[in-house]
Amino acid sequence: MKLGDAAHAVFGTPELAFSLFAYLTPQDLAQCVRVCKQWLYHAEPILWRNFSPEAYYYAVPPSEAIPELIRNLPYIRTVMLDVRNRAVLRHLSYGSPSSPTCDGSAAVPRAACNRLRRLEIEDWHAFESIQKLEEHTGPLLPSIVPLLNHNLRLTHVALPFQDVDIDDPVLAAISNLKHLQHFSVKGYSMSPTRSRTMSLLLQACLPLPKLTELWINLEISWLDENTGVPSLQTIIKETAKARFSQTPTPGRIKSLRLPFRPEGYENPLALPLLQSGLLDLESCTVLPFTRDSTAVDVEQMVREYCPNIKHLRLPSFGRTLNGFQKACAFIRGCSGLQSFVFDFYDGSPEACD
Amino acid sequence: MPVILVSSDAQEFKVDKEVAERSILIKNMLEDVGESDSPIPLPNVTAAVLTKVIEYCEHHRNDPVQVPDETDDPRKRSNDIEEWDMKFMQVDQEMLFEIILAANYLDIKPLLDVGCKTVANIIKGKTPEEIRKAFNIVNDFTPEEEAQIKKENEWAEDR
Repeated sequence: MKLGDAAHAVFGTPELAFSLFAYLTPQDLAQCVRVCKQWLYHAEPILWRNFSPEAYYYAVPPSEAIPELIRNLPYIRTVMLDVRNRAVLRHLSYGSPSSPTCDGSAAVPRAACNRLRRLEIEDWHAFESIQKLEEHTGPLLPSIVPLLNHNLRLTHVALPFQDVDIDDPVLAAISNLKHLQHFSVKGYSMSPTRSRTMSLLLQACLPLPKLTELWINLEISWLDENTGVPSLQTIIKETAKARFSQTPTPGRIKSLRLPFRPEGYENPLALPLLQSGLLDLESCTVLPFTRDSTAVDVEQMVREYCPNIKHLRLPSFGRTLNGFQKACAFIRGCSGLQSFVFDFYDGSPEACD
Repeated sequence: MPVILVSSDAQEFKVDKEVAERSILIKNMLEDVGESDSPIPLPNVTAAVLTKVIEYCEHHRNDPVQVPDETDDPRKRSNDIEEWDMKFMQVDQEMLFEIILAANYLDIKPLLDVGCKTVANIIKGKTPEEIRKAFNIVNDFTPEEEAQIKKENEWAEDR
């Protein structure tokens, strides 16, 4: 018996095959591409839309082309990579490393991957020293500039925290992502210029009109004010002005996470951000207010600036007594809370009215 | 006012306009010709398949019109099929694919979605060999080619 005519027609019609394979997970699609040539043809582009290589590509030396990656670059919509996966990153940014131009000169770098919507670069071994890594691979952020520049429709970008300077092209690249909805940086930094980097990143991303989620999951030992650029307060005020002077007027930030100190609550960003009018928070981790704010202050600030929070997370670093009291005060200030998660209890969500 | 549909094997089906208009193709045709009681020929659909399609449209006659999915996320779920639809789709494989083709031709998006989800659920969790067996597909790869494809797409497995 052969494949029935109807089945043949369905698998042979590109839009039907597409809507069918769209329901499958990467694991299942990886089986489908091995079924026959026709299925390979239809399923491979869908499989490669969400490109998330793990250990597989670690062994590939940066100089070596990965033919299947090169072949599928135009299909890739989502990339989740470890920061160490530079060979893959290089191919995403430049396509084939050895495509000679007609006049024989070195190929002009051109990002071959140009339909990206989500780019997530994570440090999956977060506690290894990033400096140690960079001795081998060079800084990450400059290497993703061509990728950002050729993928202006990116909606989600997540990067590991690395120091940048004021003229770093990555800042200009981020500020051009007019469709960006989610921006996050993650990591741990002891560098003396981290505060300056924070300011520069905020300056680049806060005016973006579609931005509604700003997650700075950054553990820092302190956030000093000696940044060499205007103070954080000034920057926040200015970017708020820049954001709301655009037409049509952009919405406000709905979801926020801020840098934290492992030993407690203190954050010079929280209050200026709340006062800037940039936020209309629906979900956040408990904001680390300044050390000298009391529980009463916290409750009042919440009522005044972010009473509409629906989803709240109290991170484990807030479990000191002082932090806990402030968290309770925070919750009292919210009028429409729907979910509350206390990470200390293994992250399991606890309903709370 | 009822509408008369004619299958490819010349059988006539009298259905309510509301039911027939679950098919965007028929809805547009009716709008184009205006008030008319001439039968609508459907040369791509046999009586057996049309019976099933009409059964589906009868059951879903009052469903709200589906809003097209605006999100850019290509990942879709196939484990949310309604109980009635699940039973409705318990047909032999040839009929299942015939229904998908008819839903595509008649432009009945929810029926097309249910059909695709049903096929996706058949594929799920199967090895390439099991998939070939399930759909009577001939493996046209050489062993070397298949090994190469496996290696190239290995990153997506075991997660």
